[in-house]
Amino acid sequence: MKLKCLLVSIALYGVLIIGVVIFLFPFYFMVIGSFKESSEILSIHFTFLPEKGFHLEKYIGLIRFVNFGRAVINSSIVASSYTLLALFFCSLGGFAFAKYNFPGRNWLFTFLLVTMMIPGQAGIIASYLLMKWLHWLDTFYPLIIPGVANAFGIFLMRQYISSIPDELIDAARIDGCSDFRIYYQIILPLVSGGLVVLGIIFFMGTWNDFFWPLIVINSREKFTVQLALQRLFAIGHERDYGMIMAGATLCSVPLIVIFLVFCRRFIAGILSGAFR
Amino acid sequence: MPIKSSIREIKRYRSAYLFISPFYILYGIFGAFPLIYALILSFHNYSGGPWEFVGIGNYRDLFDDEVFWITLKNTGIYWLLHVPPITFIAAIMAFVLNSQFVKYRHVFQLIYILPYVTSAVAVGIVFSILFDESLGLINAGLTSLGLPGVPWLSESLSKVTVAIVVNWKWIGYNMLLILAGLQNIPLELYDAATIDGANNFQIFWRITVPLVTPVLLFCAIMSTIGSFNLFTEPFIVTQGGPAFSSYTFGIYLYNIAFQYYRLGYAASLGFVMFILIFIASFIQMKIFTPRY
Repeated sequence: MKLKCLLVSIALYGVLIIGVVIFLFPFYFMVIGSFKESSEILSIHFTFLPEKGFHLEKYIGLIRFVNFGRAVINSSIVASSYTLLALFFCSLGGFAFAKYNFPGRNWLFTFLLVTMMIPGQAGIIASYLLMKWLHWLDTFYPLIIPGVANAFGIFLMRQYISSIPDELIDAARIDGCSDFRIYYQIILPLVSGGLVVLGIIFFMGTWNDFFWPLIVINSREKFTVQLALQRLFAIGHERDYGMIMAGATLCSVPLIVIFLVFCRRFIAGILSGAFR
Repeated sequence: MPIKSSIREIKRYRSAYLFISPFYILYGIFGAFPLIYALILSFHNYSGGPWEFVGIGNYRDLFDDEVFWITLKNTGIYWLLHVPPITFIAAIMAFVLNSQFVKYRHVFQLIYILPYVTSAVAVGIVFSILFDESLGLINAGLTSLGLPGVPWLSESLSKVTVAIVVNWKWIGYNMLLILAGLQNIPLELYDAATIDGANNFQIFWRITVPLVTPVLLFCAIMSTIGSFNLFTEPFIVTQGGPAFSSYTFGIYLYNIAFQYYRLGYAASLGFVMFILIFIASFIQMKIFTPRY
């Protein structure tokens, strides 16, 4: 019996460790590559550490010659303003759906759920034309405004807010609290877990988005990190692979850091079934 | 009287209406309006100049376009290379992680979910360097083991390569969703079954499988939608080539609209994609929803 347990454990850990190698190696390759010369990355003589040690010259080159710092700042502005606005509007909407029994609530909520199932990509060409009319092409507005009050976020926040007892809200109302103050002072602090989960999803979605920025952003000064990185890779000949790896690292590390800080809550949020 | 009282009701809840109004306003402007507008546009030729009504001409051209059928076939193959493997592997990993023998679950979960957090552009770039046919590390590894190098970016294998990259990115996320499904099964069910004398195999087929099926279905539908919308990974790794062999609807739409600027035609393609996604999700729902 003991032997059987041991064998099962070895088999399970074997599977898990193969998974770890497959999932971590590309990250290792990317980060180490950012300290290497092109020849060391592409050569068949792969080395596990950069031959000349760890120097930041690729990162310095990235910021000095291709203005990658600008792209990082742009993406930070877009992703954080979108995240803050979206968290505000989604939690406000989720609060109204969870805690008010207003006429037409069920009908309006059903409509909201239906919009989640409609693939919006069908209208992407018209969305582009709309941005053109609004003179929003080559600005950050198309990346921030359209999705700030989205069905998914409202739905998720409604789930979280529903679990807050009604008595708390009734008590506050008897004390003469306005609806907005109830939201601001009672609801928001109690759903911080949900806000973190949703905030990570929003930030990640905007930071990593590629298709929509590719369509609406043209000029180099407005590039997000994804666009800047793609452009760096797409120049064709004379690619500096070390610099590309440094760009890919800069593009991934902020999210990985945010994720590591909040990962317990994020994974707990998914595991608690918030996504169904 | 009833009208008056319902108006009073609505007034009483005016802040609730105010709180939900941003969604309906923004969806109206940036969601519903473009959809309707694109539908109208799809019956016209438009390249920035005047609109020219062509009826169903764009749709007819689309069905006569060889590239459309190549893309449809590619999408079917992408679906096969993407949805069954990803769901299967993610399910196995979820079962392994759910086992009582495994410690440090959090560490494993964290590592597996990292690719999901990383941008598709960075992932695509790293993999296209790894998969490079003459200078990439993967072929170098194969050669050093005495195996022949694999033409990863050739016409016959480009879809497989793209699918590997996409699957690598999404397995962890699907695994986490399935794990959530497994952990939501009440332990009492297992206890009851054990007391009634069920063996492990019966418990697995009669309790675990039916109860995780809805999660598997959800994963499969999400991945199906993903395989229709595939854009970034093939755009970076293969640009849809060589010779349309890894072309996807996303790349097709992008090229028609923003390389050739045939916006009416692109809008009609958008709607055909819309209908295809609907049909595919519907079929999966029919197949996988258990009937007892």
